[in-house]
Amino acid sequence: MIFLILLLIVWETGFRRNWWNSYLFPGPSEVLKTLTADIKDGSLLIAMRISLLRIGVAFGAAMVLGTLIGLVMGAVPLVHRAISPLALGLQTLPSICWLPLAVIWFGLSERAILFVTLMGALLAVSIAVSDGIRNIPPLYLRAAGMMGARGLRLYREVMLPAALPAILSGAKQGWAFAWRSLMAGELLSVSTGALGLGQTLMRGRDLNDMSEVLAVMTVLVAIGVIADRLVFSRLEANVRRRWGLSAG
Amino acid sequence: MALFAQQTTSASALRQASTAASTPDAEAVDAVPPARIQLEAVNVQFTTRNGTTAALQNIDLTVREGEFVCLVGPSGCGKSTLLSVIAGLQKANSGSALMDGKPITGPGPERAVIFQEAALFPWLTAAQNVEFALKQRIRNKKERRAAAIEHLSMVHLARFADSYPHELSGGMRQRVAIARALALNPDILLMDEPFAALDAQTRDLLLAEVQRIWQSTGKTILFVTHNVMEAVTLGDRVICMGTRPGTIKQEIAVTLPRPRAVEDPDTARLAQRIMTHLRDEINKIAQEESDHAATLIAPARSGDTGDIPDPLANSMGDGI
Ligand SMILES: Nc1ncnc2c1ncn2[C@@H]1O[C@H](COP(=O)(O)OP(=O)(O)OP(=O)(O)O)[C@@H](O)[C@H]1O
Ligand SMILES: [Mg+2]
Repeated sequence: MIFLILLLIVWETGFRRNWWNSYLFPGPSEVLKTLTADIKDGSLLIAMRISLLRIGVAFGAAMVLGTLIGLVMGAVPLVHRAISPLALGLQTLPSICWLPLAVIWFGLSERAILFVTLMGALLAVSIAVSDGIRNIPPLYLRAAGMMGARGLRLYREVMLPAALPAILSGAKQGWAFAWRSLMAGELLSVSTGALGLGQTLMRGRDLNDMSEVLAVMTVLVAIGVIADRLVFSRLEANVRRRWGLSAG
Repeated sequence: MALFAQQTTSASALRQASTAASTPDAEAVDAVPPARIQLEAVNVQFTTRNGTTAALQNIDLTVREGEFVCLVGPSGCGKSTLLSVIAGLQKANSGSALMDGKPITGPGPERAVIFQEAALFPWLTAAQNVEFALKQRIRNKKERRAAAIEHLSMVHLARFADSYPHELSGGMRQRVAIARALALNPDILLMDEPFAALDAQTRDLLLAEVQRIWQSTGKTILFVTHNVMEAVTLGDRVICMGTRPGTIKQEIAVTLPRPRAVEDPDTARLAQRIMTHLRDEINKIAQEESDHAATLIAPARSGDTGDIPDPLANSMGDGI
């Protein structure tokens, strides 16, 4: 925290004293000014809403699809053996590489951006869920079998909750991937429909408005930190504690 | 006064079964309770990359209605395997395993298992864990919850109904597991060293609890332990197993009056007798292990000798 404040002071001083071309790298006060202006005229909030809506839809779909794929992969060894090398391979592919394909399939449209974002999270979530299912302590399954839990009930009431810690860490990772993919997608498709944060960032560049660029970057960092620290890490810690996976 | 009778064949143990009901009325002597579990010539082998282990060899065992049977033996003699066969969690390679005359094909709620570690679901509260077992019998939510609380109060845990397993002590968790098993309304309780991980005081308390539950519910119980004191305190019959291959060495009918406590001198004396028999068996393992270790160490200057188990580490000394 202290380091951060110091950094801000140095940054501001450097900007005021013209240690560098202040036009290329405006100081924090300038960025703050742009930020408040953007918030006041509503453009930033609209962009935020659009981006969050996009990631909400794509990430939500990735969670549902990924959990289903992961469940099947985790529960049926044959499917696991067949799909997991493919999934692991595709996971190394940066999801923005799906963009050309998406553009051909869907045109340079909203759906292309959503598709890229979805692909960013899908594999991470599927793999995490399937690993989670495969690592369920056999004791739980034996206890469930003894109590007559089979079929759908076994999935819903035992396997899913037992795998929940793994699913959550998959979700956290998936979110991070999806967020990056969304920004990449938006940066590369400025002309598409509604302006999200990525497109606002790119427009700032086009207009040579460096303080706009930095303002949007600040917002991106803020959203990232909030999602990770306040939502996912907290959820994960709660679940891990309850599931008896960590002390305290 | 004969404190105990000793048999070396399982067949003659049947005569003792009438004492199992703990009602020594003269008229009950001839009425032998029906057999619930019948194992005949059961063999189980495990094949791993280190070879084949005969975990169970030629096991004959009959457990009758309302009996409390304890299974003792050194570590690795196949006690858990035997229990798993009855639970339907492990298939026998040959022989027959029957419950009420029908082959055992898989796990079922009529044979409730209580595992060494309480296999409670950590995402459910104590009451919800018990409710899980009740789900198929009681559809109505309110009634189910009430029944769960009732079962929890049987193990004196009603106050902790809404606690999660991680908020309970090991002994409390094991009690919830007992409540959950009872909630299945099983015909038979299969308990695999359920109190091995607990401290001596908690264990003695739970031993008393199990006796009380057995006497008040009349359930048939098969109880695995490597602690001879525990076995003698609880059982109508103590079955001693030997190791490699896992076989039944002898059966001892325990006719001491109930309720028994671990510290009763009669209990201790009988346990001592059984210990003497088992000691030979332990010594045999110790000899095997050290021979095996010698063959591993001697030619293996190359480094990797694998881990050498301490044959006495898990022996039956705890109770005495
Ligand atoms: N899944 C398995 N795969 C291979 N070998 C096994 C397996 N389960 C048990 N065994 C072997 O079978 C033998 C009996 O095991 P079991 O767990 O029944 O012993 P136990 O009497 O319950 O011992 P303990 O008192 O230590 O719990 C052991 O020698 C063990 O190595
Ligand atoms: Mg065992």
